[in-house]
Amino acid sequence: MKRVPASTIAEFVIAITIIAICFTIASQVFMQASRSTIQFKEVKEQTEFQSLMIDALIHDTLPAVSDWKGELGTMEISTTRKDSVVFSEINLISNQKTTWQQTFFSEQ
Amino acid sequence: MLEVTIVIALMALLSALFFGALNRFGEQIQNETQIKNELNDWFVVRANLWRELDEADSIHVTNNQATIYFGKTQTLYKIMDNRLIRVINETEMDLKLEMNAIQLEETKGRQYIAFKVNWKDDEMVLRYPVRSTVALNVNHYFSQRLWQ
Repeated sequence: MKRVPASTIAEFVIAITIIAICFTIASQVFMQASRSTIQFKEVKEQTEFQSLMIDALIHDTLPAVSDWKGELGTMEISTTRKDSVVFSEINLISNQKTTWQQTFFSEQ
Repeated sequence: MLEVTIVIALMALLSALFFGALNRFGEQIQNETQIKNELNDWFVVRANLWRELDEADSIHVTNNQATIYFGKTQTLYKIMDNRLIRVINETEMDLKLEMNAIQLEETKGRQYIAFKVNWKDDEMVLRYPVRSTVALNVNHYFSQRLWQ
């Protein structure tokens, strides 16, 4: 019986590399496919958040946290005082990342 | 012989996987470009809308149409065949955006102009508060003696 010689290290490395490339490309495709759905949702929420900020600017009143109905991110408001100026910082946080930050200030 | 067959079969499988994934990746890049273009189209419309609504002297909303008056120019946004059309100086421009409605809304005693976009089978609303007109601002200025 004729025996086939075992693979050399180089052949083994080549095979592993090809497998790794296949997996990398496949995972990239999967990531991109799932990301596109999120992108549209993010833009939708961004538009609605901008609407809320424009409303706050025009009516000169800060929004309440309960006014925000977005699903992807949460809204946080922090207020700081410096001399006679009050700074109100509104953050839209999604996955522990600030996706939008808006600061309003008023003199008192 | 069996080993050679297994190796060839595995190589064939790997090649199929590799070229399949490559093909899918190409398709995905094409999709991604399409998505980017779609998002960019919306960003252009949104940026223009914010600017025009903010600059407007007055805005008139009726029957899924919003007329924005600024100086001597007027810009009309209307829905035609479920798409948003911008008309300026009798020139119509299709904004490549599916639109459900342009209407006035009232929330907590405040009036808003709502542009309701059909966004991937979901509704996205761009809401702009209705501000008082220039005439009202002038009257308010004098009635309250705000210059003093």
